Amino acid sequence: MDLSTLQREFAAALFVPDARPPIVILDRAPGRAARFAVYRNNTLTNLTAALLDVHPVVARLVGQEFFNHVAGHYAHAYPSLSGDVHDYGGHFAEYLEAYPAAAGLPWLADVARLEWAWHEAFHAAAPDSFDWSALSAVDPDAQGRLWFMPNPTLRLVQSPYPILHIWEVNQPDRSGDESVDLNEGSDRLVLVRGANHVIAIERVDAATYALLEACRLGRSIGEAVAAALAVDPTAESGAMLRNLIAAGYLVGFEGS
Amino acid sequence: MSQSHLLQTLAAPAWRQVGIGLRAPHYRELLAAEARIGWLEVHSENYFGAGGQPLYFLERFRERFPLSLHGVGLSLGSADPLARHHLLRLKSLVERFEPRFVSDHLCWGSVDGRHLHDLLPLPYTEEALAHFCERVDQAQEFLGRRMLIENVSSYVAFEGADMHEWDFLAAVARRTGCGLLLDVNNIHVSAVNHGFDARRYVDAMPSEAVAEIHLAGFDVSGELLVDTHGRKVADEVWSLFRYAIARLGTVPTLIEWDTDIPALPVLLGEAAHAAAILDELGHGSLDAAA
Repeated sequence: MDLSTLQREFAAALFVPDARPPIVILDRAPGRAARFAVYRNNTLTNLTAALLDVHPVVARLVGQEFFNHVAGHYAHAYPSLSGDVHDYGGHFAEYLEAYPAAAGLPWLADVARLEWAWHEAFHAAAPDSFDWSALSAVDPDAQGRLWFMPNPTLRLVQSPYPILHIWEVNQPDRSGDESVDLNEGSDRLVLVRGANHVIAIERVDAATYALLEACRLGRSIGEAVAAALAVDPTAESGAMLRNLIAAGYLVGFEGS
Repeated sequence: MSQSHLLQTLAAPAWRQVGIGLRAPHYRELLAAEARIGWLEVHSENYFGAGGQPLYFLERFRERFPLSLHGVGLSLGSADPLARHHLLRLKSLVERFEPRFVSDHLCWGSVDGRHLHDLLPLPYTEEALAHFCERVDQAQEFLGRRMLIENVSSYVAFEGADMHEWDFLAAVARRTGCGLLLDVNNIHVSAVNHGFDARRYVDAMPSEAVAEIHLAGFDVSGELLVDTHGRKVADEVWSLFRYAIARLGTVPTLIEWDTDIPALPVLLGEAAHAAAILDELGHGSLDAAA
């Protein structure tokens, strides 16, 4: 059997629990099946561990047994496409959203989104600091055509459920009341990594969220402000921008 | 290398030759400690991110220790094309940290772009040998430096693959000029699982190519030994290490521990044990120091 065929048959049998091990494996004691089972177990264990590493709150919410079960299905449905296991798990939230057994936990997928956003923020490039003097050198009439660069660590997550509160009461160092009222309302969250490598998670208003989202999508600052005003016509865009720059959410601009 | 630098290298005590695998739970304690550790090794992929805390800590450690990069995801033995984005990320780490060694495994890990995240064994055939050597050539050329290739623990062997793993590995070193990272624990695990004599494997290694040794612990699962890197080095593995050092001379040696990571002193105790064996049996560089 050539190398390519052998590898395809081996991999195909790995993710199907009851599949017979490839017959190209020598059937020596303790047997082909027992030998192949080590790889099946290793692969699933490694992928589950990677998913757990990024999603400890989801795991705590559903319990280890359920988590392992869904992680096994996810591994089958969403192949890892990178040799770096830290890239694995980016579709877990959408998978949970459609996972029938999790239908009774409608906020679970958004908690997974928050955890993935945290993971991305943790590993993202460090930002430059904002150059105010360069901005003041730009003709005010031309400023609306600039693109404002979000902090490379900035991530946005929103949910109709109070996911930040859910996330907070499920942190390992948390003690005390763990109850969350799902009627507390929706969350619009900004994550950004500070100079001390700690990820700060802040709730923001709808206009701020719309502005940051537009910047993340590559819209000019004029368009981003328009998006914010469409959500909240009373928003004061100049003050909002200054605050976002001071908070380190926007770290530069291009297009002058 | 200048004469005086050479003499310093020769006079280095045995513990300078022994390193530990650096893992996140030990970052703060190890930075604060005055540990008798000669060098550190990390999994390259743990530092593939663009920024943040992992790279911050790696910079701090690099200021204090020689560092090696050990990859688990290059998938050198796959029939897939070599992943260029993976090599690019590795190369940028190599340029930034100037590691002592850059290594990956004698294995495959992906099929049609799907990564399996395990170190899967190759069939030891002429076809696989030619393929693996071509890929090591490509990777070494891309990185602009020699790599080390490490033997893995294995649980299966394949029909029609009649070459011994040790002959395959020695041929890889001969044909590509790569160095070898000899995992003594993996030799023991595979020897038990496949019923060969572990010493025969060590005997077949071209001593000039062996640049590094790994030591780790395994678990027992029924009739098979499973490489978990989650325990102390077993007595049989210490014996095989002694055998290897007596034959190969002093080789930089690393203690690896990846699951159920213990308190730092446990790891340092294993390192001290390895250093004592190098001190007792090592020759070559340590002889000159005596």
